[in-house]
Amino acid sequence: MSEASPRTTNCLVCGLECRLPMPAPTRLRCARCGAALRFRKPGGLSRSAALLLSAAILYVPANLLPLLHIHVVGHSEADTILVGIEELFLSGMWEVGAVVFFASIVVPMLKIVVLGLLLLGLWRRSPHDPLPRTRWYRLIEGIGRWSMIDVFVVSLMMSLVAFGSIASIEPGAGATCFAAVVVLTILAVRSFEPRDLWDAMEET
Amino acid sequence: MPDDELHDELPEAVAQTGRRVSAIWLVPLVAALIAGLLLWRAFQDRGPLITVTFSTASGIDAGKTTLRYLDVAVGMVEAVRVSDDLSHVVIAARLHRNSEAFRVEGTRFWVERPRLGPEGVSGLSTLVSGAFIGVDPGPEGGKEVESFTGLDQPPLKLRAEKGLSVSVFTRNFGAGLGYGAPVLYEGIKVGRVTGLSIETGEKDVNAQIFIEERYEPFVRENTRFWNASGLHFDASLGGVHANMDSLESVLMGGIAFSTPGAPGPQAKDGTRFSLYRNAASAQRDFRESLGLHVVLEASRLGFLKPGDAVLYRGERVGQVLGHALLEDARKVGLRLQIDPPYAALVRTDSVFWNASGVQAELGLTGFHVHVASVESLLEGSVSFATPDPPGPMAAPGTVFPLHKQVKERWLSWAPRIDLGPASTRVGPGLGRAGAGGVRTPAPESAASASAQGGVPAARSGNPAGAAPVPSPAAVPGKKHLFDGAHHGIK
Repeated sequence: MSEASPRTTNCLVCGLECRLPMPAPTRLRCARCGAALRFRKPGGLSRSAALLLSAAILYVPANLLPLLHIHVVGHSEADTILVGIEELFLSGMWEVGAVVFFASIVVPMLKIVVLGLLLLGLWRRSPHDPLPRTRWYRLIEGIGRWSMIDVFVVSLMMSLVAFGSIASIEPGAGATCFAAVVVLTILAVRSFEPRDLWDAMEET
Repeated sequence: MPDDELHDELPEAVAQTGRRVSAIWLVPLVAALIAGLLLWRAFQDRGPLITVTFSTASGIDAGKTTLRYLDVAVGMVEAVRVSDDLSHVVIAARLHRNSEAFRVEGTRFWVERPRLGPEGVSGLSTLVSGAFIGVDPGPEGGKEVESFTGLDQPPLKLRAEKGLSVSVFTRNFGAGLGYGAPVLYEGIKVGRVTGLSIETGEKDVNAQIFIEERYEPFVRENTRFWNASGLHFDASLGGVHANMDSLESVLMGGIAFSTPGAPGPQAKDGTRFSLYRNAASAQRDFRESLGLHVVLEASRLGFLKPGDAVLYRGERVGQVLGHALLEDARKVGLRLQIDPPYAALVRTDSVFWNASGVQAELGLTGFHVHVASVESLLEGSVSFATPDPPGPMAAPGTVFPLHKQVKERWLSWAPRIDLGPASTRVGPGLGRAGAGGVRTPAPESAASASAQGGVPAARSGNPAGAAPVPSPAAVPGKKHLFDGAHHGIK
């Protein structure tokens, strides 16, 4: 971490304010309780990047594998997210389709792309104005949980439509992947340290 | 600065040395593994892509319609498009893994939809589940191909279905025989017509028949098939008979069969049979093939016609099969058939005369009226007599003259001819048919026993259902009389 070094920091465990040695080594422990002293969120860039990468990887099967298996009287159907949205639009329910499209395609894509760009900027020490980037960060932090509605829909449908051999709905492998993508993106966004964006500013 | 002083008084944090790769990078590794595994498994299940052409794509949805064999999904329709020449529909279907058996040459595809036919309702489940494409794999080990032509109708016999496939041919179908028409045995549906074709260059209509496995033993090499389509009306002096095999056969046509006489060896796959116009003609053809056939020559036909009785001492022992002008047109030839048990009655020196109607004879001795039998008043008949002692047995095809008038002398002839025990003939089948004069056949056991050198037939009364006229049981009193008369001959 190459932030402008403060001279003191508070131990987050026992509250003791510690003076920092000069020059500051990368890892510090509290002089009183021995807990690791943290200036920023732990892991920083690499943790966020790792989680984002995992989410991006799982996003592929989440879209290619069926989200739902619908069984209706001897007929079964397996639909991926995109096919489901297409069907909603074709059957005239374009409002619902739009919501699902927003929640399951736009939001995760937006998070992955925006966070990816922010991380890339950090990694390359981009000299751009950190203010709009901080606003983008706030955006993806805010919309993160919206993607969960897909997972909720699947789990609700599964428990509601359970009429044995007449009709039943089972989650597919895509649903698991999709839930993992949502959780991982939320974690990745949380692990991101927006203060890092401003380091470059302070250095100049 | 007090801050600086304060700062200096604070304890200094301990530096931690050493650098480790963050464990967080295990997360994308695991994610990549899981994603890779899932995708690999999903794509592993994908089998080969095939195309099937249909005349219509009604009910087929890309990504929804499944290909099914015995109701097990073996593939999925991926795309539906119209052929380049706009004449039909091409369906691209992805087979599941390990479904090589469903892409060999000869595999048949058809669209399963709800169907309503005389034989019942089928494919009802597709009302709810939507249509699906039925698959019937071709012969095992066939060549793998990629494009197929779909059937318009579900096949009537799946390849895996066990049973007997034979064909019947006929020149003229009395009533239309439908695809899928039932094949009946003793009124029970034992199979169906699986195909109709016209032999190229011929007028023969060929009907492929499938007999279910458990009914296979009923089809023998000497089995007779007849058209059991629709209703049969039979109007004769004996009354009007309406005959119907089953409601299904009325609507769709049908084929019935029966094995007259001793059952022959079991029929093999692919055997060809001829199809008779109706039960009576099948029956007649069988009967006519038995017994002794002789030819009569007459200057005039008189009242005789096919089916007329041949009488011996007033007892019906045979029938007139047919008649035609002889080559030089100077005489009429009549073909007679003497029923098997009575063949011994015809000797080389037998005399035949026309016993039709009433014969009045005015002579020195007075006025004589001869009536051979009550039947013969209405229908023609031929009588014959054999002198005492009888001559050698007549060979099949022997030609006799047909006398116009009976001679008194002939009526007095009473040679002893051994016919075997009377009980073989005075059976339930011996009775006369109603006033129609069509004699019901002798019981098959008796007929075949004598036809095959006395081997007792295992089957008795088999084609009873096929008899055009139900035979009234022999009158018990009459039987007694017959026995007595017979003993007298002996």
